Amino acid sequence: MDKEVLIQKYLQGTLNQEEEALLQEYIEKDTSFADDIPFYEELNYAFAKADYDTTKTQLRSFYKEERRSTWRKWSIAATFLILIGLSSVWYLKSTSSTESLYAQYFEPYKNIVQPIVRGEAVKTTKELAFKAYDEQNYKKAIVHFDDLLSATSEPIIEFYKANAQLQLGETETAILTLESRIKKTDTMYAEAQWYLALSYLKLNDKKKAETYLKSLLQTNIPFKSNEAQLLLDQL
Amino acid sequence: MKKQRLITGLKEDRPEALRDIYLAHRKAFLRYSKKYPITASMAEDVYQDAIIILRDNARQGKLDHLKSELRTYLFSIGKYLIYTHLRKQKKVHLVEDFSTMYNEQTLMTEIVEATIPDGEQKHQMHVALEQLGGKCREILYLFYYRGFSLDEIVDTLGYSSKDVAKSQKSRCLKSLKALVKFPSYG
Repeated sequence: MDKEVLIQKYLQGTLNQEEEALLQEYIEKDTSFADDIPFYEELNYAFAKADYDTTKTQLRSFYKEERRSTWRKWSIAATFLILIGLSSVWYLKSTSSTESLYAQYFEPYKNIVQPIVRGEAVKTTKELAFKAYDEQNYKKAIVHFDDLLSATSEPIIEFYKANAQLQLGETETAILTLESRIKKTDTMYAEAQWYLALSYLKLNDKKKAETYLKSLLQTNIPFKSNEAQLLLDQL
Repeated sequence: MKKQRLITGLKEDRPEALRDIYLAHRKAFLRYSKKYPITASMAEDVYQDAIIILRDNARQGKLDHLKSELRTYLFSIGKYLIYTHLRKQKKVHLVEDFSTMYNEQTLMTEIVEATIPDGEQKHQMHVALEQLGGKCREILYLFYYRGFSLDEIVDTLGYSSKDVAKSQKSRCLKSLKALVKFPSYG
């Protein structure tokens, strides 16, 4: 038998009795063969050690990888939960507070343009419009306001139209009306600032609401100035 | 069958097989090891060693006809290792005969045969093997340590023939002996 294979089997621990005897025989007869045995044993040990060390490192990396991926999975889930939680709390809080502030402060501007006298026959469009406004029939009022505005643009009518729109929950259109139709020099400017502030409050845009409240206070017109200051403090 | 596939994977040194087995039983083993007075890091260490022994035994074909579940086998190795560790620390008087712990006597002998290289590095040989170069290291590793036949080496490393592999092996062996300055060749 090949000496090399005999060595191999010796290292593997797979020698049978016959081969064992043969190995002994070689060791006794061949001194250089005998001297080589420790070398092979060392070689075998070095390989075993290297193999062991490599595998240990490998196993450790499996564990780290696993722990990392579970940690990542959980942290992603946790982040989502926290974000959802935070944003919904924030959303609920902010919307509920601005909504309630809107409800607390909003009241439609009173009809001071065209006092309606009960029982009297209504003739003009203006009268019809404000009658509808007073009767809280805002849809009808808007139709008449539009009718009036198609003839001449009157800021005060625009202002009432915006109020009617706010009543109908058409906040965005109301904002558009107030922002584009009422100039600084118009009589209803301060009032418009107030309703703009409330409109943005309803849309949960605190910044814009604050801007309009400040703008209202800057006019020095004593319209809702106490309320404006109070509201500013609350925002 | 899943068990057989994993065992084959271990024999073929597939990292994913090692990984799957390692992760599949880790938690259960660590839980189990709490019965014994060992630290958590020791338990992890023992578990890793048990996996390595399992792998080595698979390589040697000892698991080819394994009747028990892999986990049972793995846990037996782990138990044995914990016991050896505790005995070394003299924490356990061997009241319980080892052989009574196992149903399969053969399993016992397999485990006892398994060795873990303990610490001290044979420095000279280690350095020499590193200097030897990858190709030579590979062929010597497969032949002496893994017990591959020349035919298997031809297949694994892609030599053109058995003769080429054989002469390559003896050239590598000679170089290694020169590198370690082994007495009889010095």
